[in-house]
Amino acid sequence: VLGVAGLSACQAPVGMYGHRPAELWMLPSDATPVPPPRCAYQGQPIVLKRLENASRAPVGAHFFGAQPSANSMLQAYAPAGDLSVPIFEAAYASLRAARFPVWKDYTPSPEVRHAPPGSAAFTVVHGIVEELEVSTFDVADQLQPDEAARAKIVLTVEDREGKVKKRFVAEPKVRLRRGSGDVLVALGQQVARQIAEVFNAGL
Amino acid sequence: MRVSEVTSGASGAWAVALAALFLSGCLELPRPTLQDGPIDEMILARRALRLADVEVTDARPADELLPLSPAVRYVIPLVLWNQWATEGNLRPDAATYTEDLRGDMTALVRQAFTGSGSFATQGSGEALRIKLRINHLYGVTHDSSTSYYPLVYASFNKRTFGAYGYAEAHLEVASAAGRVLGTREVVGFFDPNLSDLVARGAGGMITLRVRPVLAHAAAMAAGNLASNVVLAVDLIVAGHPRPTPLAVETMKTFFLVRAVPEGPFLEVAGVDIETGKVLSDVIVPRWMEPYSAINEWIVDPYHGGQERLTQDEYDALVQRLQATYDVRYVTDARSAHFFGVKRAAAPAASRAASTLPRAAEPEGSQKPRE
Repeated sequence: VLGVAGLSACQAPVGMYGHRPAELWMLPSDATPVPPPRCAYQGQPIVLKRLENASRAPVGAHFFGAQPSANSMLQAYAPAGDLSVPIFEAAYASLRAARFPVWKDYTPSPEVRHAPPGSAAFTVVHGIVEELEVSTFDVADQLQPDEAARAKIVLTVEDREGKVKKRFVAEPKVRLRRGSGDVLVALGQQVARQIAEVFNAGL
Repeated sequence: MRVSEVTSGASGAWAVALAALFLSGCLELPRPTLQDGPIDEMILARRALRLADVEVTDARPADELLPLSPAVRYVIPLVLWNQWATEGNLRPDAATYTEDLRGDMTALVRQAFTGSGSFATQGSGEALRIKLRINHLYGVTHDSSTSYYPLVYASFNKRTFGAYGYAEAHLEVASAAGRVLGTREVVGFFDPNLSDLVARGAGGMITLRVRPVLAHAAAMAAGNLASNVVLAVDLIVAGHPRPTPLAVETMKTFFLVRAVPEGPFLEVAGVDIETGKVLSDVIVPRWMEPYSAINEWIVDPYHGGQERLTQDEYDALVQRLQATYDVRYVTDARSAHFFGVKRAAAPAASRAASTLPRAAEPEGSQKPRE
């Protein structure tokens, strides 16, 4: 009786946003990320700003995931807490692979704009990572064959004068079999897909 | 994040005595304040600008000010044998590390600007106003423990993660007239894995007196935030001319840089422009924000030092290098990639064919060979 009474006090540990690790692991599996749709956009070159990080901690991962994956970007940037860089790089690479006329700009400030070479007119995509959780380690994780992550990224499309043309929120969620890929890269690919859909639909 | 596991057995009485010792405050650590947060040493390009005002506001959510403790996962209370387990994030009361966030952060940010030499604190230069809205600041760790209490014997199994300090703020840089020049989200962090804290012995205390160590981690993150505010402002005002601009036409050396995949480091190589000979090649900690993808060689926008070139200076440097080298803007609108010597290079660089890469690679970039 006492044991049952004690068990009734059970609480699962939660991450920085109040989610239990299991909530990340129960995300739908996305073993084969869907690439962004082919570019149908006919407009000005797109300058993708390096994502800014305003998340509560750069990592719920620091508590639910410590061992960096084999991905080199993660190794380089996780120690400094800047996990938004791999997401940014993956989003850029996906858009470029889908033949979008996209350029990177590592200066994140939306007000600091720089035209890509050979273009006077351009469109800026600026994003702020408001939430990021990664589950790649923990005791329970050793029994868990998957890695999972989620993010909430607020994206803004602006013209070269800073006039906002579109604002939208990307909430990528991924679950991958351990060793089959990097969850941050998968998050970036999902963000790219959403950006591609916005541009293909017309601003 | 470092994980330490402690499994120990002791008599119940001894365990109680130990716990009483630590709980009594006999080993109380000095109470840290935010102004203990060290400012990174950095020397930035001096701009014709003056720091007029620093305004800090506190926008931390109410739930972050409260302490956070690991949750009880289960309890098995029996007559002869007890067992319970806890797990979760551990965060001290915010008052542990500051009672005057605005005052502490204002002092830290001013100290960081003064140390960098970036702006004048007085004079006739254009005045800038800095607004900083602190959204997050705390020290936190994750703790997992299971305790067994058979009648006279106690056993603990404890896993404690390193104390991680974290700060995040919204930065606005404006002219004295109120025109916004740039905004940024700036992060400050402290990871004991990257410092000598553990080596100095505090790592052992993490498992014993965790709250003062977490407060210390928060102070370290605040110091790092102040340093990063200066770097963020430097990026925003990078277009402003420097008192001593780079003499691109007469310079003899340029620098290549790549982000190293194994950690937060940069490899920086100095190259003789005329001959293509590599004069220096060092790997250094990456003290500034990321500005290129991993393993891609780009023309260094910091020109081998700590003074970021203006975009006009950088473009002029790239243009000069293009006479001899295959240097192009391929993926990044601001940074040019290096692909080696041009096929039809100038005679001097052709003589250095043995020291330079064969040809440009379409999908990658490469550094000259020594």
